[in-house]
Amino acid sequence: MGSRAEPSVLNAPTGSATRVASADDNIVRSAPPPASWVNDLAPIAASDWSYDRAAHLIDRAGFGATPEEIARLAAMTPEQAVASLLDYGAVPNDHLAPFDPSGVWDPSLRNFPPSRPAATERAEKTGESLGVRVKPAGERRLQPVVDRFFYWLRATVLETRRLAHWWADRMVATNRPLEEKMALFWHGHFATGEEKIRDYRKMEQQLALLHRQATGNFRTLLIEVARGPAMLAYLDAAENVKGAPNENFAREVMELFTMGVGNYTEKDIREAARAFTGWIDDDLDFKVDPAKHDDGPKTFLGRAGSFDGVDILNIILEQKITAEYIAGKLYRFFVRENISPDVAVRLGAVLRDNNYEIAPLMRAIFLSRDFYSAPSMGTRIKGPVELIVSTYRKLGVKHLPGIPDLYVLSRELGQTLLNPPTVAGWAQGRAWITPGLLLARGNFARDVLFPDIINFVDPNFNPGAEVKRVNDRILAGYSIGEATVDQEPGGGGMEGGDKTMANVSPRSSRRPARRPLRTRSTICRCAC
Amino acid sequence: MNAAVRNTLVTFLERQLGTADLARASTYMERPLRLTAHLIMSSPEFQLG
Repeated sequence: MGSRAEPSVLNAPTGSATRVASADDNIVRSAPPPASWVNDLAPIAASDWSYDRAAHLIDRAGFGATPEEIARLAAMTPEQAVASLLDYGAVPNDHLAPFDPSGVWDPSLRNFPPSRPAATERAEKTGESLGVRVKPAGERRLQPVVDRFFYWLRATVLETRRLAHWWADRMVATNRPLEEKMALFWHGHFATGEEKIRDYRKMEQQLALLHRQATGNFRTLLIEVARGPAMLAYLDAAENVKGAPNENFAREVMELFTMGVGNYTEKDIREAARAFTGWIDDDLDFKVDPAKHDDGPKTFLGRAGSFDGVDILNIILEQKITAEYIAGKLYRFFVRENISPDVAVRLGAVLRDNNYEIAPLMRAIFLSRDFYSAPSMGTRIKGPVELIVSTYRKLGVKHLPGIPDLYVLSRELGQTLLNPPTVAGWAQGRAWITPGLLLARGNFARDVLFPDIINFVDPNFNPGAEVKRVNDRILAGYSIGEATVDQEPGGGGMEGGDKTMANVSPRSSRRPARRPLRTRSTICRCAC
Repeated sequence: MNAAVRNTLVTFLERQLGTADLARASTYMERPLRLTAHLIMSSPEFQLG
């Protein structure tokens, strides 16, 4: 556990840091760094390297480490230590298994309709939907289609939780912690959520991309994310068509993903939206529908031409502000919240001069004196996933435990992997801490050290109160129509259901007596 | 870690162990260590990196 950095650097001693023997066995710690290190991007000298600074590096460029792992880093030069984390391509990671899908998806779920009414409308028109044919006769002819619709909604939610657990386990077990930390950063930057996308496969595909380009090339990453089915679905690409452009993606790509507010006009957004028209996700593939694409002349950021979406992205990347915005966001995530404008300009130049290669920028950051300055060390509030993973890694745990449950833990702390609250991702820093969340963090510590195995119930077995209520009613013998109305069947209270249940033995094959439904709610979730 | 915090943790652990002799306590040390770790992990400093 590192000590908190002093808030004022004015009291720090001047000159190079000197080594000070500490009470801990054989751990040589540094004296506080000079005030001049703040905003100094010059590389740290080997003579300034120490256990503390190695611990800080692995905390930020990874998820922390055990004392032995930190000591190994401390025994290297700063360049070697940074390279061991950043140049991870050659680091073996074969012990990590790929995600093993449950097999809940099949091709009949392609082109999943956006709503239950859309699913039943398709069934009424074509006689089939989601691989299920409409019953030719009898009651509730569309009910099987509805059942299939809700099956997939639940299945993809559960599979996404499995995917999130797999990813967090990877963060705990990986030999390439920076790869995972960068993927986590990009997940918050290019934020998409399964709750809207409703297809864990698209999340898995995007996650693979974030890993592939974690420290790769930002231009490549941006273009592939933009054309990825996850982002296309999340930001309504299918609704962006010639003659009726939807500005959702065009706005967010500039405001959140590349330039930031104030560096483009509303007209730029409208023109960019036109360029992105016709972009669609054909299941897991990207396609342009020529009939829906506006290939007319456009004016964007002062440039004129018949731009398509990739042209727009390349023009954005030509802007000086883009490299500064991205470098600044990486700095705020990996170093500290407040970045000086001068540092943003200098780091933006590093990114731009390296043709948007991310690794040189990260190397410059991790080797800089500023990174090891007093305001940068021990000052970053860890996000929930980072807190969970770093706790396990620091304890030397090799795999993510099943208890406590990651989904429950991270949700209570305010962060659910693969489901950010909005396209802006998660607010960092002090947003992670409220009085309630601080208590939740204390409870997290208790749950890790004293896991409640006796009372543990797998949260995935809980479909929610509404589903449980419907289930109880169906078991009591009510029809689906009666079971899914808001008010109690039979006119109030559980009286009707209780009496019916009382007539049924647990293993009885008798169909329980049905109670007549006196009223019907205006809200009906079934196929009628 | 300042001296006061360190002393508090040491005092706590000793009280849980019933002794300052770790070798003497080695056969039942796990729960006291977990309780001490809980104190550390509940501190504001632990939320920082």
